[in-house]
Amino acid sequence: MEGKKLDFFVLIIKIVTPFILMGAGFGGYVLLYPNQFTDVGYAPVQPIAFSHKIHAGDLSISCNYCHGLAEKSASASLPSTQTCMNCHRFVKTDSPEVEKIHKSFNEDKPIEWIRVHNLGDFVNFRHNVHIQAGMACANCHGSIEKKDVVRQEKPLNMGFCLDCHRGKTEIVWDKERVTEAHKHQHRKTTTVAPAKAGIQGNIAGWLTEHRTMRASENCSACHY
Amino acid sequence: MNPHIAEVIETPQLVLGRKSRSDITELIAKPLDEFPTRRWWIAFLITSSLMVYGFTCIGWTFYNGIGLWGNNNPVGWGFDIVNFVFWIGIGHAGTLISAILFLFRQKWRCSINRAAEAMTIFAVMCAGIFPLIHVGRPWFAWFLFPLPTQLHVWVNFRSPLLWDVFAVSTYFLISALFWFMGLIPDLATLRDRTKNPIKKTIYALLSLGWRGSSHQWKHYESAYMIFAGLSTPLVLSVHSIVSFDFATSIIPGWHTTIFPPYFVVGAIFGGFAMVLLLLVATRKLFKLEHLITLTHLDAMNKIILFCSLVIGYAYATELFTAWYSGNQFEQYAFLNRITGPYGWTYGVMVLCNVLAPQLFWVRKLRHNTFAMLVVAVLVTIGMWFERFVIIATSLTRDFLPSSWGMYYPTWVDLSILAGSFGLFLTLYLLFVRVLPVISISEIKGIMKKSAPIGESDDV
Amino acid sequence: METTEKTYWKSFEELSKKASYLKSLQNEFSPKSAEGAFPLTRKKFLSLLGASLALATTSCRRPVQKILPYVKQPENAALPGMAKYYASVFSLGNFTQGILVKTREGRPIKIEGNPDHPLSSGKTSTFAQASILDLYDPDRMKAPLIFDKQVSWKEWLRVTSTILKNAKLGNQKIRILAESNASPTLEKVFKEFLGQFGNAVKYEFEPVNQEKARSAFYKSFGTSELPKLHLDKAQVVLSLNSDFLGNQADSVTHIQKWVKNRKVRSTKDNLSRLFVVESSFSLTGTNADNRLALKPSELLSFSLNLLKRLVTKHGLTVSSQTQNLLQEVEEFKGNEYIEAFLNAAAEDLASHQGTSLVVVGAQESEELQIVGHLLNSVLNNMGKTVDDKVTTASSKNGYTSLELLLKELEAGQVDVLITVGGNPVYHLGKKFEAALSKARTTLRLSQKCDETCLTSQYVAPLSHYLEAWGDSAPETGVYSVHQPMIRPLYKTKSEGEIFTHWTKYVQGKKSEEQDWLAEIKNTSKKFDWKKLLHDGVALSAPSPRSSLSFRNEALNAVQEAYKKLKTLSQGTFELQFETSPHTYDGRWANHAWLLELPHPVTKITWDNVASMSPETAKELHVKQEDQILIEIGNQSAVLPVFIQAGLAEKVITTEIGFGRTASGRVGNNVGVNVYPLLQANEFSWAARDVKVSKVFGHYKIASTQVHHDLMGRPILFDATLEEYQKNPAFPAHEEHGELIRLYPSHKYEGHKWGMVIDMNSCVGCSACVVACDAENNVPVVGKAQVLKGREMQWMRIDRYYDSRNQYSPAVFHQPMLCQHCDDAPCETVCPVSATTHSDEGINQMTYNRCVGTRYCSNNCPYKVRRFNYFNFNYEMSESEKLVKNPDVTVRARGVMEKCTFCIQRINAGKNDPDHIVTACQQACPADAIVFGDVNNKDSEVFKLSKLSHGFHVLRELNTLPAITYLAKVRNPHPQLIAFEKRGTSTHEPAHS
Repeated sequence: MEGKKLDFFVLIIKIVTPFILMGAGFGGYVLLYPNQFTDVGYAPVQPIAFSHKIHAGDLSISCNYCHGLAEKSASASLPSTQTCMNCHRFVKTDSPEVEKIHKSFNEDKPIEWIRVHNLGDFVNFRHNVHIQAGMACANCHGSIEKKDVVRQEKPLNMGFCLDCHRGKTEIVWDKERVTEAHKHQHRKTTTVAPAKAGIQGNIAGWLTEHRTMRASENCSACHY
Repeated sequence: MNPHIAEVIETPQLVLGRKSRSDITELIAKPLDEFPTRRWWIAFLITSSLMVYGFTCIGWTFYNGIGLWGNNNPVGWGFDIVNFVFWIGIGHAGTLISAILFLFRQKWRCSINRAAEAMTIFAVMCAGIFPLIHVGRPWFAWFLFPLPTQLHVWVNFRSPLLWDVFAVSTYFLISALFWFMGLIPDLATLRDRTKNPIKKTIYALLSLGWRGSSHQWKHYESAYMIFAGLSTPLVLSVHSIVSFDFATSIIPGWHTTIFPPYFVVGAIFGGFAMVLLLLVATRKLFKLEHLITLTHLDAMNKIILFCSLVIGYAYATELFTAWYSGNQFEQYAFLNRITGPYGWTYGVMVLCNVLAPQLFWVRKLRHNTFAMLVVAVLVTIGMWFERFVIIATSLTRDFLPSSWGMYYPTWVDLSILAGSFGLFLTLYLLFVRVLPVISISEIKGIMKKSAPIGESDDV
Repeated sequence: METTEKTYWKSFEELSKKASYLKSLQNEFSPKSAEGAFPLTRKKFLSLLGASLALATTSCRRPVQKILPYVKQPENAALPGMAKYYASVFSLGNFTQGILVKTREGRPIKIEGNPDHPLSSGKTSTFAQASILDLYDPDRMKAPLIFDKQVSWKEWLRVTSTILKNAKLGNQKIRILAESNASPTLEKVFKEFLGQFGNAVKYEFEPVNQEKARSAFYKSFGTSELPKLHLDKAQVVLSLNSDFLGNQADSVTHIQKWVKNRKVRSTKDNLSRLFVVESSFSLTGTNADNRLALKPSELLSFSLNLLKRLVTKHGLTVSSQTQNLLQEVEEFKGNEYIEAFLNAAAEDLASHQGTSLVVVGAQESEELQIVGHLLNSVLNNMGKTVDDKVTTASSKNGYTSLELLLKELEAGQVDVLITVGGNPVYHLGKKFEAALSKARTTLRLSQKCDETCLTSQYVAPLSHYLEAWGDSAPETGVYSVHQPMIRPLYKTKSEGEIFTHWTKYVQGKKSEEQDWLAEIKNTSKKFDWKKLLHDGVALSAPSPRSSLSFRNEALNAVQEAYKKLKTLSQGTFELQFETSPHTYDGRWANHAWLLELPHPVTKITWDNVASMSPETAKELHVKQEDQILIEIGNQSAVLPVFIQAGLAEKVITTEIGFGRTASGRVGNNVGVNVYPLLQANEFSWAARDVKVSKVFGHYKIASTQVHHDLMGRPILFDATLEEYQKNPAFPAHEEHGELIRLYPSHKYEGHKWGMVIDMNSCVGCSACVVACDAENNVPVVGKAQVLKGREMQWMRIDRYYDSRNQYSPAVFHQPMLCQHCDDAPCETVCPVSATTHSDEGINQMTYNRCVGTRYCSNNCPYKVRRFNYFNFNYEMSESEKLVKNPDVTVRARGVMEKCTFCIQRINAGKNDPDHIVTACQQACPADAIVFGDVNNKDSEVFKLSKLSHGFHVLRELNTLPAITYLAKVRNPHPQLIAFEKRGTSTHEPAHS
């Protein structure tokens, strides 16, 4: 075959190869970093336009008032309609949203909330352990008290969990509970790594010392 | 490589008949221009249908689960891994011939290395299937690669299986490239011969603009030399690492230090048998008796004979060590291999691998293609059974008698094994149709009055 | 969190056209076709694919999930993620044991023992553990039927009530045939009901009954109220064909008491001694210090000889009548072992008067039982090891008491027959079925649509005991109530509710929902109701009864029987029946957990077999898995042959409770129904003159263990008491000195979980295995898969024979589970780190990381890992899903799994680490399993693990297991040790 044609083929190869490589690169990226594809920002429309901003934020009602089970149980649980009624029997009874609460209460029909934060069935996340350790809800749920509509703030994938457990992410502590956390570390469990110097009482000092904290990296802590 | 083989095969004429270079090109490239013969089609039909059947069974397995196979509780590995080790073994001869013999200046390799390398690559492809399917859920195979995913977890570098992943993939990559390297000049030749425009385009693309200028030759040869150097250690490493799957475990019968050399030799042994098988067939089919001469085959037979002796020695050593160790588990493991319910497989193994090749002490038989075929087939069978003996029988009876069991392959197991052969042969048949079975350029190199490649500039 | 309310109605066809439906069920999941039991539809496969991909990345939006909180949250409501425990009782015939039921989100998921209950004291039997699955059995009857037509309860009650009313007016014959129960209230309700009619009688029947025991006891002591036995007070126990540690309803109690004198903690401890003389190889036999295998027909003369020896050799004083009897007794012909055995037993019994106990199987002939009582009173055990105050519940529930009813039925005189529970048609066979059809009206109350339902006209579904109110008094002074844990899954009622309703109706009164509960409250009014519900049991001082003195008139029966013996033809084949550890008497036939639970002795699953000694097999020219035809009278059964070492010659043993035809999708046509044989033998459990012949054909027996020989390997160690006292560290002699480690050893700063298993206490009852199945969602795989060796139980009990004593093999039970090695061979080889070592010493298994290379399983020297070869959880009905433990992943196909030390319990219990118990430990009646933190120096597990006779299985592999076994210390009689060739164990795997 004469030279010209030959060079043409060679040229084609030279052009094609880089494209193939780029394609492969992009494919790899898509495959390896599904963080881009997590549910961050997932904010479904709830049956009742409940605003955490008003309740948790402006009125600063404690999270535990509605999600009290989070201290005791693996799941944080949602409040019964009754809990809402405690106030809304009197408060803002005219609002159409509150109407729905009354409806549910009177008709004895549960409110069908839509789940926002959803972990895989193969992972066992225990709210109580984290709460008792003194972690603030914000660590995983973001500053929910500023949100009118609940949306997923954090990727909530394994990497996210591990970063914290490996002491890479800074922890938002629940000041009231930090003393609890003390007990935790001084009891020799590895749910929280044993502290080098537990400064009893001196919360401020403790906080500065535990800006981050390593926790169990056992697979069986979450997967069983 | 032991010297006396070398001098035996240096002397004789490697290309018989008074042939001009164009004759050679013609002889090798001719069949590629013609429409496939009927014989080829029949063969192709059989092998490809086998292959399709095999893959259907694999699909059926993915659909239902490994439960379709004979694997069970004491015996976690059955045909799946037996076949894997078997094919990896087969995939050894190619690179050995092309690389090591090349470094040792074994000119006689020139007429067989192309086929051998092709064979190697196809075998490794067959081997590659099994680790993938034996987990039953191949869509999780990516867990085995050290990828920086959002899971933030790493693979376990202590696991021999992981070493396998690297060893095998590297080996495949290098041998494939090496093979392709060798093809380039021939592809150019084909490109220039063929009239068919489509073929021309394809060959042209593949030959990467080879002009055959002395300048290109110079680079080519040094590159070839480097590749040979690169793949030589691989020949030894791959099967050593495969053997680690067993050697590093604690199961009596697996946990032995002899495994790496033992496996490598076994691999070369089996590989050569397979090459022999294919060459005898090919030279008959394509009337290449002049290029693949009895001298070549004789040389290969001698290697097979040598390997079989080493293998025999390995078997003996195993038994001796077991007895000498005084370890009751070890002792029972080997006693069980011979006298246990799977004793017959051990018999087949010894018969095929140690006794059968002894025929090659007789010169007559070394030059008798039929005898070669028989021995080659026996050795192939024997090597498969060797792997079965090692894997299955050791697992059926390990430490706690309470958890002993038996292993019975199911029809699916057999079908998949057959399918792998189908794949292998199909690929080989395609290869002989579209690429020169013998390296045109190299064969020319070893003809009278011509410097063999590599010697032009000695690295 | 309430999910939308599920209704578990399957198509009504299953009830309307029962026969055809049941046929279809038979093909649906007969274990013989279990290979075809895992069909994946295309949809399923795709969904599986989807699920797996979902696993691959932790973040894929799943379909929208709804959360429905309470509207008005009731006080102590079922809160998401939190378990609640309720006290209750589990009943099996007359015996009941206290349980705590664990409920999650309002559904019962696990049975645990009630520590306050004297009969179970926190422990559970296999049956109690398994009974939870019965609640969710998809084959339960779901609504009442009238002539196979689905009707509402209202309708059914109306119709049946009118029938009864008319019966009353017409003064018709009403007969009730009920199963036994220990509920005083139910008995009261029955009485009231019967009181309404001029001609109404209640009969009771149980195939495993106390009829003979009662009459024997009556003849011996003038009362038929059976006494309570105190095995804990006995230093020498002689069992005559009594499997008190094994298949008896009350074994769980006996085991606890017996092991009290079997624990070895120091060389000062002394062991009780157990002599077992039996014609089958029972679990009790495997635990005997000295065992003697005899033909059923030899037992009587053996026991008399023993008595004779006691009198002549050891000068025990007996009445003149006894003297006369003993005059006639001839020397027992037998080999030197039997001779020595007799002497040894006599010597020990004589030297332990008042602290010995002779136990005779409740199904044995009256005469034998009388001799047993005689022995006990001669050894003055009455009032000591045999309680003379406390009596255990029993009732006249045998076959002979039925004969009158049968006559009436056959004569067609019965107008209304009400069968309550039980399964008479299956137990009593064709004869009864025919008779039953002669009754004008047949009412049937039953949980399952069983054989009897199929032949009855008015059928009503009963509630499971976890769905209904009830009470029980298993022995005097013990009263407990069981309360509903869950509203009935289907339209069911309890016997009590139905009968109270009937009574009221017949009385012309208006009946209310709460009548039955009111009755119970009435019975228990002397106790504080709330406390009773909370504790589950109330104790009161037993009323004293006149002390028991043996009546010599009883001996006449013995005399006759002994005379008769000699006249009978000798050397015929003899058949010994046993209750089944799988199905008991057939009631658990549809219970997958129990059917797949390996038989404690033979390790057989999914079948009953004809066991015989190798010699007998030789005589019959049969091999393992051949088939034989057994004939008694005009009845016959074809059974597969199982070669069982340690049986007397010409003796064949088999189990009742198999071959059900209408039990449900699991149990239909599993095994062979031998009730016809039992019936042909007048329900006496030992048959003579049995015709046995080989028949053509081969039958596969799915046994989970096929090699029974230790092969001299360092797997377990044993010694006699003397040897132990001489060398307390006897297991150490096998060791290879100090073993070298290459890896740096793990540091355990926090906890280090460990376990100790006391092989001396473990009797092999397998309660732990079922408990593990229940706790950890272990799937059932079916016979075909067991045959392939793919059973999934995380825990198994290895059973080894040792032929050092040619007359009767020594048996060892070794619970085997993941050893959680510090240097675990499985961990290093997993390419994806799916199995890793936790910093608390646990060998973790991460299912969602596992790709399924099975390398870990290969490399495990203990072979305790289990691989999901199929998706064993796909064939699950809606109701079965409810039994799964929400804290444990339900494993999918292609995943390796194994014991996790109940990691879910550990994680949940971290705040109180000293009280974490594993499921197996919790169930174990013998307290053979102790779990805890070995870093805690004053934990029990630490102390036990340091005992001199503790050892690690296969220590020389240096895997450093977290489980320490305490070696077995046996206590055979010195004279009988002579028959043991010590330290010999053949190296050929014994294919028995």
